[in-house]
Amino acid sequence: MTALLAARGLGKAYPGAGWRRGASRTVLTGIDLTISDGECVALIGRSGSGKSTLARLLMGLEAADVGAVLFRDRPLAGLDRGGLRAFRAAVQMVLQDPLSAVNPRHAVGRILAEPLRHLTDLPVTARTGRVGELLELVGLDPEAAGRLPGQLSGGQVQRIGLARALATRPALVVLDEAVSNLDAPRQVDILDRLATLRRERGTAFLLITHDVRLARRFADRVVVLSEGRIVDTSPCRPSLALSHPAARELIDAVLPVSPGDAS
Amino acid sequence: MSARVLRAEGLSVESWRDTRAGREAVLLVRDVSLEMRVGEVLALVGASGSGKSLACAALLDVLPPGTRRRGGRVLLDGAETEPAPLRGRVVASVLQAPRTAFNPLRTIADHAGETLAVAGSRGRVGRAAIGRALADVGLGDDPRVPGLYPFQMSGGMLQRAMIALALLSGAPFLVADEPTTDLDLVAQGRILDLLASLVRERGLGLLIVTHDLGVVARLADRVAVMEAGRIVEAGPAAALFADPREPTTRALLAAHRALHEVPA
Amino acid sequence: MIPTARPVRSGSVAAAGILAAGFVLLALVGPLVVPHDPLAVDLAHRFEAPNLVHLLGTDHLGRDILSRLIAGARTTLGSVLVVLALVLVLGLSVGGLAGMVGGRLDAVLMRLCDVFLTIPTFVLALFMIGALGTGLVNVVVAIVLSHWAWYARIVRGLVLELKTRDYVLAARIAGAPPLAIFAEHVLPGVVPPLAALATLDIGHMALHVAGLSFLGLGVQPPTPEWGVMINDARAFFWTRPLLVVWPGLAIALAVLGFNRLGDALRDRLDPALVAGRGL
Repeated sequence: MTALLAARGLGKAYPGAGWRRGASRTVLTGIDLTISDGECVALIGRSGSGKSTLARLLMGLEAADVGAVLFRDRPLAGLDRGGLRAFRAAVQMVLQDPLSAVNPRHAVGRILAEPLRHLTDLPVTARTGRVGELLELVGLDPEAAGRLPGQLSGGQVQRIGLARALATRPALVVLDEAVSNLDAPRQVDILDRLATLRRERGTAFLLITHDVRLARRFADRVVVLSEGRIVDTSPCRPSLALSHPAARELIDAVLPVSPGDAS
Repeated sequence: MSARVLRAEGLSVESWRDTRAGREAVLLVRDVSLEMRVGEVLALVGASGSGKSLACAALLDVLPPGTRRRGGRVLLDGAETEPAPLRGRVVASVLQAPRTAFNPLRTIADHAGETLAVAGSRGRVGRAAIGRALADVGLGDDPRVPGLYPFQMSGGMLQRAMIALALLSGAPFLVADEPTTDLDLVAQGRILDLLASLVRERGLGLLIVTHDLGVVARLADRVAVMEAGRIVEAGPAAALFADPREPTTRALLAAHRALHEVPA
Repeated sequence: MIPTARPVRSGSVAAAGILAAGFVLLALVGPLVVPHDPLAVDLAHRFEAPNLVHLLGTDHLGRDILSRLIAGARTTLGSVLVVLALVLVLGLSVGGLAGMVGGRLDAVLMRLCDVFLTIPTFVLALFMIGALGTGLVNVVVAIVLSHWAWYARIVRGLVLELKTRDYVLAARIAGAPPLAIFAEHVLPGVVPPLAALATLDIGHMALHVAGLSFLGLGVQPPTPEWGVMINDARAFFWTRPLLVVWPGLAIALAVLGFNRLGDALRDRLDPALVAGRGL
């Protein structure tokens, strides 16, 4: 397997705000992470551990202070226009809050066509058909293409966000807490759909979450982020073997299945 | 003597939409009854949009604009009362997004002072009470906390501060609407531990609204399951987990259990 | 699911709308409906009181006042529309560029705005007219130069706010180039509040045009314009006060109508309300 996306010694700090301008805040230090084709990696950590910043760096939405992100062994910073377009088509992301991630003024069809317009050579006439396929892929009625996001339920809008990320048939989809805040039936529904996609298309996933249950259920490998560093890592099968206190804290925080159970 | 049982009977909430024929009422919550008892935790569960938050808002008389209560009554120890005067004296509340519940321009001590003013104590007695309440929620170690502004605190700290404010009011009942949804699991676990100890040690009566059956399993004595604005099943938590009767409850439980499974 | 509370639409808003629409209509079709030639001098019928032939009477040269008011609507509102169009184009491009690009360009453009914001309209107009001579064009240029920076600042603020939206991030992930992001995701959020502001400013700018013309700096007699008409009537104020009242009333009503309409538009199109309603 080749390295699809890799981080090499990534570091990021933000300048201090207000009258503490001098003190910059280090968010990420020395991150090394490799995602191979078809692999499913879970990045777990508490709020403020730097997960979302790492996702933005991996997506090329922000530049790292040190280190590099490599897309198929080529640094993102060195990509030309065509290379960047190929990268965007190959690596997609689903954002955390489904409703705020879609323009409330745009109909679902237009939202799904956006990556098709910018990242593929699909002719205009073929887009409608592709939008219909995408809606079916996430279990929505093709009729939904004419609706506005405000007319759909939260779970349906989250599936629109997923369909948009799948529009370009990406090799990797980053899910930034995109499953964490749904209720259990919707979490199971989305995870099952993603598992099917993996099986049928070999799509790789980076699942970013604070919920060990989701990581354990979905991923091949778990990477633990704490205070901007990768502190522990373990394959999910046969069972998670994490020993770092930050990882134990996350595992212990899982709530009991039934009343009276020890968590 | 302080109150022991707060009961809401037959709460209904309606909204309305404009149609060509005129206004048409839409029932969002139908005939919901809830009973809070001191020293007990009642969990109200359901999918998003099932009306659980609106039912609580009706109980507290803080319904959002565009909705109104239709029918139902609130009883305190068996005597019918108006819900509005209970708020802040008999029932305190903790909301889902702590950051939006605080005024960003005022410190924690300012907010506490406001709560105390409702309860009628000020000055040194008030400051001592603020100190005690913050200590009770685990924010007592750091003397800077009362002077902090909301943006200087993490989500978990803010939620603790909000619970401290609820305690300051001295109300025997607390309604917590999805109090841990915006927090990570570690912060969630600590807040739930805190709520459990308040119920156990202070005899607080807690109504917790949640979509997470893990929260119910951790905390609740009794559960009510909502679906499309009605309570479809209610009973002791252990019984509901062991023998769910309604399809809604079964579906929620199945998904909850599936999340804990590890596929081979 | 829950209907959002709408601001109460009072009757005065409807009245303001009708008033403003009436003025716009007059400006559009004015020359077709004027009862008399607004420039026709008839010294035999000077200072006539309102009568059936001249509904609002005649002025010191015997010109029909109603016809001059109607024709004046086109001069005043027409120049205001030109001013607004120029101000909007400048404001949208400078503010949009500053907000979208940011960094050093933003700093330079905003300092430029600060410079223009320090210059009062009338002072700039006097300077321009001193340098370039009187005339409506110079008045328009002076008002544009002293107002565009407000719009640029407001547009920049709105752009900066809209740029942080998650859906803009999602558009970047979908490969949208900056120009497409501006046109499809940012501009539609900027236009409604800007439209409300522009409507609110119509009255204010009409006052500028009329005021500068009143001072003899803008529109030159005999062209019918409300400010010019007041200036003409000034000499007869003590004997024929109605000559001042008619154009004054027209200015007051136009300002009132557009201001109330702007207020109502702003209430309806408030960005927060727009976001909440999803349209």
